[in-house]
Amino acid sequence: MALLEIRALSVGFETPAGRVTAVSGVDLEIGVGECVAVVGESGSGKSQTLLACTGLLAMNGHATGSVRFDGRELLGLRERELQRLRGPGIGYVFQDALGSLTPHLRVGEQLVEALRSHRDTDGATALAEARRMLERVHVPDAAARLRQYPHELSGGTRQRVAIAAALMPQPRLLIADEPTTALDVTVQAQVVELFRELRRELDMALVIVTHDLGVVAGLAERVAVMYAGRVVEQGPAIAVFAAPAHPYTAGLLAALPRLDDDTSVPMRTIPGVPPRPGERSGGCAFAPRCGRRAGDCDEQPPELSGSGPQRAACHHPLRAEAP
Amino acid sequence: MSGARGLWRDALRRLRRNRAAVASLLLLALLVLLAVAGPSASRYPPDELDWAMMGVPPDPASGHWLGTDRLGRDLFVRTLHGARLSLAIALLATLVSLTIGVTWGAVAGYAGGRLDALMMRFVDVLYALPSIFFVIILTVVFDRSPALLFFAIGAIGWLTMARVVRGQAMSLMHRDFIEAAVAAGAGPARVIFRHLVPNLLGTVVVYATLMIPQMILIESFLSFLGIGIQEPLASLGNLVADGAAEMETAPWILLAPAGCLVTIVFCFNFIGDGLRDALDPRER
Repeated sequence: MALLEIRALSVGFETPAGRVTAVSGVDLEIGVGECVAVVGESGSGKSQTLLACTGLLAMNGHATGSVRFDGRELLGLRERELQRLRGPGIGYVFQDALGSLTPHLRVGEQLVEALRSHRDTDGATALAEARRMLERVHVPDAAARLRQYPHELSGGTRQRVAIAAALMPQPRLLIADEPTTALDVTVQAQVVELFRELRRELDMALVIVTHDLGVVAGLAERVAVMYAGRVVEQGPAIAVFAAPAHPYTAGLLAALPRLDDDTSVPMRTIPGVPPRPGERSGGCAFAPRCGRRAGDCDEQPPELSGSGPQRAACHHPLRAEAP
Repeated sequence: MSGARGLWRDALRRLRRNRAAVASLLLLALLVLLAVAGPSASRYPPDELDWAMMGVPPDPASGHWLGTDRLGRDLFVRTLHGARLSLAIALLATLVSLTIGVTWGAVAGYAGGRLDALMMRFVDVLYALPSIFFVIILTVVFDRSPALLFFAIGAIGWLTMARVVRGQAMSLMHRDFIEAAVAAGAGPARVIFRHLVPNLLGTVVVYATLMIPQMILIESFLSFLGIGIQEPLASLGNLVADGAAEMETAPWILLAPAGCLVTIVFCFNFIGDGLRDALDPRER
């Protein structure tokens, strides 16, 4: 049984301009100890999908469908129950590490705080645990760091501290929302390496939400590509990267810059922009930007289909023509 | 909790580097010490009339260092007495305002939505009541006493505090660290008092130090109207009011308590400034 099972999840927001749908009918499964990447452009609904799982939507947000964690339905669960789940059940790491650390709390207090919501431990034990956790995420000179404030740390160290804070209650599932986006490229690589290592050592499932396919490659076992609030393709990472079935996935992969690219040729991009949440039409949301668009694309939104583990929501998937 | 202690210890360390604040703190400490111990050390009691020494200007030789008032009472002793009572009332009233206002505002700002609207409308309604009438009614219904006075003033002061805190809390609620704390499973009380309120303290402390002199002024206003501190008890308020009546012929009767009042106000302002810088770990 899957650890996290999202079925037909839709997320909408009540705004002064009316109801805006950010996520529509997403199905996603994360197995015990599995690493899944959710990939998509900004606004594709990838963050909201995962925030909705533990009731972290903004106050005007509303989620329908079903989210089961360890077999237990989470949507509609009481706030107090959700609180108990956040942390030891599902932990989060956010993009902006400095912003997500409470400014007046020292690193040590920050980490102890993450534990105190769930466990009654005396200060010394908790602090010792915090120090072990800092060492585990490879923060150099952990003992000294415990006494520092978030603003005194470098970007990479902050993100490591934020990861350590999320790991303190030993979550069974860690959701990392754009964990490397705000970091330098070299630091990005280190953080990705850290995630890889943590997965090996801890028995923890990991969801990486990102727009950066480079981060995902080699880390995730499975990939779900989202576009305009829907999952357009999902499957084993190797298969999806080697032979994308959805034209959007193919476009994303083609748009990745490579070191051996001929610099005189302009970078490949996907023409057009994603539809705004209010403007989605009845047909395939990607159709206006798609090179393979045909008549039926504008009539009916495609469902996730395909044989085997790799499935794409496309009327004219790339694999169909190559037998 | 260890976190709160660490915050204040660090703030104190930074405060010590601020000369104006340290000087103000020392001066205020001296004033408080004088106000508490001074009157009993003087040979003149605060309410004894001296028919031979009425309206005498300051003269160290006679022992009346700041002169006497129209009834021959020693102004030095009376000013210190007044400062003691005024400070006590202002501090207690500020404390009352602070406790109610911060809790009310932080809860409203945290909750948002309907509860916030309800709580803030309640504040609006109380705001709409003329506060001086409210205090007058309180003093008429209950016996006049300094205790009632500080309670009444505090009951007014928390309204503004609640608004200030609620506004700050609302803007902080959108910060990522609150979301991160919620995502880590922190309950409402923990989010409010561990993540939200300590981040408000800078504002609250600065506002509170501005509130103390304001409270002294309200007290003096009420005393001037005759519903605050009554003779023969002295407060800075009624001493200034007394002095104002005599300022053309005997300016020292006004200058002694007024100087004391100004000094206290200045000290609190400098201390507030220093505290604000000290409590914000990003500003060094």
